[in-house]
Amino acid sequence: MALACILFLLWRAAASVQLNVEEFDRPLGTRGEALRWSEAERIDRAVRKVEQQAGLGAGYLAEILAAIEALPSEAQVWILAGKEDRRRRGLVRLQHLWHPRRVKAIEVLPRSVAVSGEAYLIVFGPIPERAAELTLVQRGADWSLLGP
Amino acid sequence: MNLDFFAPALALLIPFALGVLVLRALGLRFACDRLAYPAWAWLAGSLVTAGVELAVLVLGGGVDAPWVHGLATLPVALVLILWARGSTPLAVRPLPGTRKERWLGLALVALALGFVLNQLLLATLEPIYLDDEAHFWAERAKLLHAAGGFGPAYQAGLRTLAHADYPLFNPLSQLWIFVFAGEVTHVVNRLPMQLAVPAVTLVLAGATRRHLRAPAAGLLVLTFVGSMLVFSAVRRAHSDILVAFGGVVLLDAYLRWRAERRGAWLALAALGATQLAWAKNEGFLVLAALGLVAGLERWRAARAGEPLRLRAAHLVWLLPAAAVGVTLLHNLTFELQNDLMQEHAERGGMLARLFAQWQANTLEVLGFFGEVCLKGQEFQLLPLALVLLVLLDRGGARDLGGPLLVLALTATGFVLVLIATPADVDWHLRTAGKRLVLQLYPAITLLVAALMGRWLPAEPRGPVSSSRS
Repeated sequence: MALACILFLLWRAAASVQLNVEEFDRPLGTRGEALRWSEAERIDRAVRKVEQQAGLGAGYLAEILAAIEALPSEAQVWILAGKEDRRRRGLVRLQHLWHPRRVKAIEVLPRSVAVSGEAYLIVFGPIPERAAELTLVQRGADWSLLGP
Repeated sequence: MNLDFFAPALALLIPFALGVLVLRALGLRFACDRLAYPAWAWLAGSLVTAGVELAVLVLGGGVDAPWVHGLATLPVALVLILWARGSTPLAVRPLPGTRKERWLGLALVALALGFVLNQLLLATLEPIYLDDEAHFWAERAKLLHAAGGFGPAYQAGLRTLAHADYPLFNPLSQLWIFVFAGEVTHVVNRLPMQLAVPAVTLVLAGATRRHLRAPAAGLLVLTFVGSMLVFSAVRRAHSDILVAFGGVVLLDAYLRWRAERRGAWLALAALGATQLAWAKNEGFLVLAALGLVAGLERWRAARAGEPLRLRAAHLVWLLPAAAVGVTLLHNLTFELQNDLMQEHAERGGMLARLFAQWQANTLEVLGFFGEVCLKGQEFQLLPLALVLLVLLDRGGARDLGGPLLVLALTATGFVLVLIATPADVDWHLRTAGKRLVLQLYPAITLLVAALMGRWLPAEPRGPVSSSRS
């Protein structure tokens, strides 16, 4: 029985070492980068990863995020886009990197719903007529940020 | 690390220092177990700082001034220093085995720790923005930070928060980092949870050495870290590893108490129980199983004519009860209920669901756990090894009857909760099943060591002395 215990320990410890060696490096970056990078660089890398996954150009979502971050911290942000819109999905995926007060203020609105109240609005594509009275805060390549 | 690291480093040092004071007050010194000691200190100190954090928030101290939170630990530190002055250090037992064996064992533990720290370092490349670590845990901490406490803003935020009923220990640990960083962070606030993995590794290194020769203990610790669930724990700010950490400290301290009958070990066990009860709701189940088994033991002892001798040291067992009480009070105050316990319109309450769903779900749930325990990559076959050792060694199983019964009752509780799930059982198993096993994995590893130790015993211990090991 003692021999069986020793053989079991040797077998599983070897398997553990093999698994650890396989997992030794991760595609996110190197140990050197983990020691060097600032938090902002780590966030940039995460944003870029989401942009790639959504098939968006580098900096597309980062520009929108910067515009949102420049808003007053208590401002609510709504996104006007179709449910399957990959830009919307990318932004929602990154919502936890926004200001904490705003995380749960994001509302995703279908195109047909009218927007009211004090919320800011991210619109992808043309601005709907019903939102025309809102103030244009910032405009990107094919997105707009509208204020109350 | 080029993260803004000074303030978070201070935020991590304070709990560690407080933990050292707690251990000194209990009579536990570095020489008691040089491997496990830093982990015990981290566990004890984290509980103190989370408790202080909670008190500051309840008393309206806000989150904007780190010095308020730092100063709030001073009275606790003073009490601990005064208490430590009157405490008697525990006698230290010399470690068994030859010098060469001990070095080999240490080298294996160092390799295991190296693997864990490598994963920890690489995990810092990714901020917290996905997964439950973002949706449940970090967001709750951010809500506390944004609301500055438990006021109306917190209450309003809870309405849209997933699993707002979960215990507060994890969010409070992250909030402690936010407060010292002076802002919400997205990377370093994961550290308190990540550090639980090297801490568990150290606890196991110290604990297994009591049962096995140093090289065998080292091999077992190395085996423990080769698990995809351990990798996941070190990469994410989940609470499951905190339950596992509390559980293994509880078990190890109980086994030490059983061998030495010193109150300090019972107090350390209570601290472990407090952490597991304050980390996640599953900890309640462990505590309930523990209470049941302890009650049974007491009943047997009373029948054998052994009177109950309550001592002041036993009061520390009020701490786990307080941890449960804090969670219940929080949920009562904010009218929160756990989704598993809730009455569902179509499927009824938990008991009704259990009776209605057992035929459909039992095989699937048991099959899932069976498969997980048989997969080498998940838990290195250690749960299977435990079952085999219990079956093959009835004497050992009887000797460890109490801890094994607590483990079995907890596992049964997990299975019953999953059978009665209000969600799709397949989805629930996929998302939570393995993490439930992770919560028990370190304790399973220690029980394997204790049972294997009957065939691969550590050398007979020398007489108790106060010399350093």
